[in-house]
Amino acid sequence: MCILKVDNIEKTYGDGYNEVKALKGLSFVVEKGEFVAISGSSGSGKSTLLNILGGLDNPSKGKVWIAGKNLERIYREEKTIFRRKNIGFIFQQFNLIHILNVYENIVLPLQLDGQKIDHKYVKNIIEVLGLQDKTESMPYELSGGQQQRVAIARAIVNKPAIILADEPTGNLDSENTKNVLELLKFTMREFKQTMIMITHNEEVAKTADRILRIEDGMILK
Amino acid sequence: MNKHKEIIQYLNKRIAINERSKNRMASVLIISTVTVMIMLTIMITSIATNIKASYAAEGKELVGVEYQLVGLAPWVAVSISGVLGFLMIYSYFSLSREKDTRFYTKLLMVGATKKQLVHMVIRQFFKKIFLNLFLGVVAGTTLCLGLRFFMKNLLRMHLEISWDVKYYLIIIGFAFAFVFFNMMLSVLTLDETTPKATIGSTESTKWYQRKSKSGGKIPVMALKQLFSRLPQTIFYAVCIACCFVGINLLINIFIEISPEKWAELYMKSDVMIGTEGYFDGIVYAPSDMEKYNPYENFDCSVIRKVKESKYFQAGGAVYFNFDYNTVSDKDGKKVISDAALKEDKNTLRYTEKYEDNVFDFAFAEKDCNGNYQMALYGADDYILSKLEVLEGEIDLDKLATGKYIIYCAQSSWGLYDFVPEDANTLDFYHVGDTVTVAYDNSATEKEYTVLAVCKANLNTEIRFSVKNMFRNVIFYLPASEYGEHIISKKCINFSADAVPGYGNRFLSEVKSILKNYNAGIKKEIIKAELTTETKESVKNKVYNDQTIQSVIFLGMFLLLVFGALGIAGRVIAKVSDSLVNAQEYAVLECIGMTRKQFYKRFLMEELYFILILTVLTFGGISVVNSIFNPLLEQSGMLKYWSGFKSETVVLIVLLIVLFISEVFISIVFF
Repeated sequence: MCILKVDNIEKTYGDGYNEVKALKGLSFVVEKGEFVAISGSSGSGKSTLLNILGGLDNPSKGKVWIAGKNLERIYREEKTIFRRKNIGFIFQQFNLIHILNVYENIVLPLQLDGQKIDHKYVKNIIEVLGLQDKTESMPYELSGGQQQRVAIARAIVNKPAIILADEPTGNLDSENTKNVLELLKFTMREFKQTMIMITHNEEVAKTADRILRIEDGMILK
Repeated sequence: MNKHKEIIQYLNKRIAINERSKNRMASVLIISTVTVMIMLTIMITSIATNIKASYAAEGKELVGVEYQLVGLAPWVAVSISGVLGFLMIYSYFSLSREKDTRFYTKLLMVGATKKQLVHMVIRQFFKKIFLNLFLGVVAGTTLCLGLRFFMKNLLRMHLEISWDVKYYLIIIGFAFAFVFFNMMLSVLTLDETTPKATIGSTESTKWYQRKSKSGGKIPVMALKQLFSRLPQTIFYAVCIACCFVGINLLINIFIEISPEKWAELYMKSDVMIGTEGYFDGIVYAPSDMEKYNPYENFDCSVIRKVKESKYFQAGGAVYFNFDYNTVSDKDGKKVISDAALKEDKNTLRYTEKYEDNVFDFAFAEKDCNGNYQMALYGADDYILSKLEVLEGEIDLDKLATGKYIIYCAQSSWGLYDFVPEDANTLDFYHVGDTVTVAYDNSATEKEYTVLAVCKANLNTEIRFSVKNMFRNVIFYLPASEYGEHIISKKCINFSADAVPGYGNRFLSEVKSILKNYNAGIKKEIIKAELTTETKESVKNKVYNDQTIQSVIFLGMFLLLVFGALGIAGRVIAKVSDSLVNAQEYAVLECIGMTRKQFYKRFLMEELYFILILTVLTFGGISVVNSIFNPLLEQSGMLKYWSGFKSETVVLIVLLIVLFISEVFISIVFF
């Protein structure tokens, strides 16, 4: 079953002499439960693509469907709500909320959505990610690997249809990189989620079901 | 140029480009801080100088505590300016200190030395400081001039501004040092040997932050945001609360008291003539009265000349006798010689009821004839017709029969330090009661019936000034009846109304009459020259009352200084917060926080702040009122006012306006 469909999207910045085409007519499909790695050199358009897939940016041309919904047709507020319910973001910089403790950071998407917290499910996530002893800690008290695990937990807590990860292991050492990748794959299987991950690390990309290589705004065949 | 200087210059340029908004905020902050510091110092210094000058003009010298206070005032002003200025600058720069420290740490980690970073900050400092200092000085000076204009033309208060260069130099020095110190703090705290340690947060976590599980709920998130900056929040709340306290004081003074109300209370006619001593409320000792009775000179010729003026419409005099307590019987006990109040069932009702002698002045002792002192005045029909009646009716024809008397209600005085709970029973006499007056060393007695009970009027008593009110039991008789029994009566004031439209000409003529008259009076009599009071002169004196002046200055100080500090600082903090937290807001939007939820969060944050501010404001007003209200006893005119109170409606409106404005700023800069 198709969870994500990208149809001929283009993204252009500036105009006239200063025009820059970041994406040039990308099209692809991602099936439910699939782990897709997007790799490419710096400036190839990976992050631009991820932002468009996550509804954080609009394509200049083309369409994106996630879970059957065309992102272009919905307004900002509705898009935010859609993103909250259907997309989980994992950032390279972790981006945890500094005034909230670990537990609060994890359940934040649920509370923003006004959902009743399934404590059993949250506890399960916390245990899977090895954060049982850290739920009362503040983000600045955690190591990089721990922070990234909290970010992963936050991304999956609302059972999104799709997880978008932007270089989730970019700031981690090899040990933590390995652990985080294993955890991500485990949670994907455990909670039946689809993942699209940007990475420039070939070793990391090889762990995916499929690799999409982007260069100069186009998918390399 | 050295390569390392080149890179520093380049980095500073990039910082200036990337942080344009932040730099503008810093400029606004420096300018406002210097403005506030200049205004505070110059105004307080000027007030002290003016006090010195006014004493010198009156030929008096400042002594003791007054001398020390006035001498120290400029230095106190400079110190307060310094503290306020430091707090303003520190609280602003602390908002971004963590971010700045991280930035410099990153540079440290890529190879910059601390010395290079210090050099970088110094260059940034010099770019920021000079123009902003200059603008702050200009703004502060201009506002001082504006304030002087406002006080002179709208408040009728003259204040000479004292421009002393040394205070300017001190304030500039302070501002220079504070900005430099705060900018350098981000660099000076760097640890060159273990720079990574600097990046780690030194925040200490409270137990409730750890245990909390509801941080994602908007009201809780807003509360956490507030607590993350609690010291600054409380600081600004205290400042704004002080500003509101100042506004409350000023409203009380300018609207509740109002010179117009006061003039109406005091003056029931266009012009009043009396001696200077009368208007100043001088208390003459009986021995002085023998030698220097100032009313000796206030004779009928003056009144006659005033009445002859073509601009005179109507008028009348109040008379009194000053021969009381001048006679002793064979045993040396005093005799109340002019008019004494015979003990009756009404006076007994008091003396039996109030053992602790509330009206001890009135009923302190009986004379040897068993009679009490009384304040019996004679008044012309014009005066009697203007009395404010509480009970009964003033019938001039009935009064002219000599059988009736007017009683002045004791409870309307409000002057006593202790007023019993059943104050309405203090009025000893009511309409229809009989009053017996013993005249001429109790040689004769006469009974009168109380025709009316009236309110005590300031303009019909022995002293015009409210500071020294006569506290006897007061009665009025028509001048004709009074003159029959009190031979040595003296005129204490003469009130008159001008023909409508000719008030100024009438006043001018009266002054001319008095000028000629004063030329011939005995010089050894203290303040015996005749002078005038009008509604206008009474109004002008309101803001010259010392207590009122103090309250006005305090109110303006709180309003301007703390208002500038609190409101400007809060606006700058909110805008800076938006800039500093921009990344976090973006992350929250990515996670799924909608605009509506952001606006709700801003609303909740503001609501919490307003709640804190409300408690501080009303608490502060209660404290200030409890300090000032007892001081009202010291003041003349404020005795006739119910006291400082909380202008709740105005304060609520101000809180609402502040709430809306701050939410608006949060949304605009979001």
